[in-house]
Amino acid sequence: MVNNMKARKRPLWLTLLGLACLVGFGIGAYLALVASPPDVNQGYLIKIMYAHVSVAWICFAAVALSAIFGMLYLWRGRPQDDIRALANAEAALVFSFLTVTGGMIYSKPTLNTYWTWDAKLTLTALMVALIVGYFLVRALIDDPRRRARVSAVVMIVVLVSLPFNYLAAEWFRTLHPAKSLNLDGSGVTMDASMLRILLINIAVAGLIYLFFVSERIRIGRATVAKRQAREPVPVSTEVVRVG
Amino acid sequence: MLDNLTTPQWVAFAWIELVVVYAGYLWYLNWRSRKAEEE
Repeated sequence: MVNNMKARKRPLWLTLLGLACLVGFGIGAYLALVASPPDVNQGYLIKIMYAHVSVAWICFAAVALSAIFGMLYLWRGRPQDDIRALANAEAALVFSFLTVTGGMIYSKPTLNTYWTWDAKLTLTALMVALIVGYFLVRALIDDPRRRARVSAVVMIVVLVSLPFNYLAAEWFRTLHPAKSLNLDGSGVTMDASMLRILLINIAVAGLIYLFFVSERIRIGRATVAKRQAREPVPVSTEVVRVG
Repeated sequence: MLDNLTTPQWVAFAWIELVVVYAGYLWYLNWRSRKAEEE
């Protein structure tokens, strides 16, 4: 049972987190748009990279967390895990949309095309389609438990596609540039000043993601609490076979 | 129309799009919050 009064009010820390996001975004944008040096190949178009790469990283993190909470729901069956999975899925949708549209805006002036169906971009399109599918599945199933279970499986499928998406630019011939920052510690092919600005923008995007998810969880809890107050006994429409 | 944008215009376009999407989702969250309170 979710505490109704506790879930209804926005806590002070969440309001302060929202303000921190505003300040952080201002600092990140200033560093990217004013302080960043031009790139030797791309010139000032490198300023788009800070917006594109930061949201792409957070998109991957949101998908991973949504799938993890989905797995927890499948394991424990607690409604809170479904609320957390849904909040992360919404953030994944927002950040995946930003990743794709930002990538297209970055690609046109640098590579002279908005889109091409190579491995990296096709896997990204597939990821967005599956995230949209997650919400279609949720809209089509009335029973809350079945809805949570099926949508959790959809997000686990998205999670499985992530390593292929992340490594597609290394494995296949693709228009998407190879990584400049290798998470396995094998090296960074980026100027230190640019790397600092990129990491700050990733941290700011992470802060904004945290605010979005925390606020969405609060709203989800308030909605569930109201529903529980109206209908104290949850009713499942699933058919249970006995014997 | 977009083909003729200059470098600063492309950069501004990318960052404005980021702000618009963030603001749009924030608006949606506020709407959901109000709806949850009214229910």
